[in-house]
Amino acid sequence: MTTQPHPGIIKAPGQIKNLVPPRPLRPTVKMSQTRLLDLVKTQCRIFSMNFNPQRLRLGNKVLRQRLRGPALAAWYPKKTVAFQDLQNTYKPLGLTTFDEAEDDREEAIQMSVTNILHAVWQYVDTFLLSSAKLRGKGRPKKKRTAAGKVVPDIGFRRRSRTPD
Amino acid sequence: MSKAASLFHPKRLNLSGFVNTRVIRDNNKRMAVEQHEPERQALRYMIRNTSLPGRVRAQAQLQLSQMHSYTRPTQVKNRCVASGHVRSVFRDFRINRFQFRMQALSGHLPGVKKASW
Amino acid sequence: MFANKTRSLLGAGKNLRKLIAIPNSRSDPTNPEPSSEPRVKEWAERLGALGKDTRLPRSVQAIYMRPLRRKAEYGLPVCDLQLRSYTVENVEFFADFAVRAAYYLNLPVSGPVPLPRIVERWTVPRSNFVHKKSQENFERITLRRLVQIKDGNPKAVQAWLAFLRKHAFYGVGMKANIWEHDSLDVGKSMDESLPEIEKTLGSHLAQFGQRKDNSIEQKMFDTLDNDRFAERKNL
Repeated sequence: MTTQPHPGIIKAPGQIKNLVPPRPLRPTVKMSQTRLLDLVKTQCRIFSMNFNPQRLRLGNKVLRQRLRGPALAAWYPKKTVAFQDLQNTYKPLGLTTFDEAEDDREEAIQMSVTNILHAVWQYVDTFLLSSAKLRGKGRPKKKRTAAGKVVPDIGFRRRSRTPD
Repeated sequence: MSKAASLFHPKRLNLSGFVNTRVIRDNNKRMAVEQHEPERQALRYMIRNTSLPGRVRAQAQLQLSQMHSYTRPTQVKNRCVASGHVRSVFRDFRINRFQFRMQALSGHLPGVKKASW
Repeated sequence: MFANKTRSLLGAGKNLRKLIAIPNSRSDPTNPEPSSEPRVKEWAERLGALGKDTRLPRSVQAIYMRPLRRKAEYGLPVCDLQLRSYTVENVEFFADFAVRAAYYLNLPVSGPVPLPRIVERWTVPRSNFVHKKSQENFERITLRRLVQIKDGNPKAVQAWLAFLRKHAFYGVGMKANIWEHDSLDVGKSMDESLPEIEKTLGSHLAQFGQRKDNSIEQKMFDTLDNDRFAERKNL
């Protein structure tokens, strides 16, 4: 099988090169290296840049970076004046203030504490009695047969203490 | 060498809004970063400056690595201002995605509406 | 053009109030006996006659028309004011207000030009990640208007901006870019203003400086070994 080159492909790139006219060279002015360096140095001095002809790593990029701290520190909302501040200001003057929200909160805490204690005692009671039935978790009542006899419980769960 | 984070505890808590331990801790880190940033940058400059003698640079490296971890900006994590959650916090609102949804639906975020297109 | 063209918009409002309030306050105390024909007409009558015998001040009438504009002589942009809002009505109203205010300050203005809207969209899951399939879209569209002042006096521009800030409208943000132009011999004027600037900056610049005997190589060790650094080593 012979592969014909595509007519669009030019096989000799060297020829193309020759087709392109050579770029006109920049007009060269005789200027010594030291004079050029001096020029750059003056330029740097005027525009307050770093004169670094050897391109050394001078770490100036670190100095150029902006400080991120203030932006980072401003993330969370800062404390403003609270009611407590007002209270503290007026306390030395012998004035009393009423913080209804705080009163409500304390009341709620009191209530929740008593509620929790109540619940705990209830739980302890039932636990000590260790009766599932008292907690309403007992087994359903057995179905009575015609002979008036309770169907024997085959399962290994303990029978409820209370008689049916 | 003990690196006590308690060094950065503020005398008085200067936060409002949702506050929990992790928020406080993150805030402490932010304050520490802000305070020590010029120092860190100075050390970083010394380390990167190849024109300085090697000993100075090595010493600066040591100093930088011995600074407290709280002064490192990478320690800072954006937390939700309204719930303290860390995940999917929108930078525009500083709010977690769920808080964003709730607040947007209740109209607390100006201009944010339900979109359909 | 108008009798009170130098008045601001607020002045126009005051005028209106005066016009309405004057007859009420002009009850003559020396002549308590009312004449057969009352000098003060009833409200409804007066308001009805507003179009016939009397007219509103021109500046108030102008509010019902398209905003008046000064003609720019050179068309050199001096100030770009960008208004941003999430609601069309607010930004439209305030842009109109700004254009009218510029007229009374003798500032040629172009605009309001509607700039492209900024659309931000967010998609959030409605609840936990488990229900990722059910999401909700939110968007915020920022509307922008550009009002440009052309070849105005910098002080007048400042006055205009201050006036707009004073009467800032709710829900409308403002951002202004100001360009100031100077004559060709800028250097001269800068040199003239230098002593004054030095005087104001002197106290700040006095805080900066470097010690003459501060040779980097030797002192660097001292800096690293000094108490401040050494103290932290023991943390």
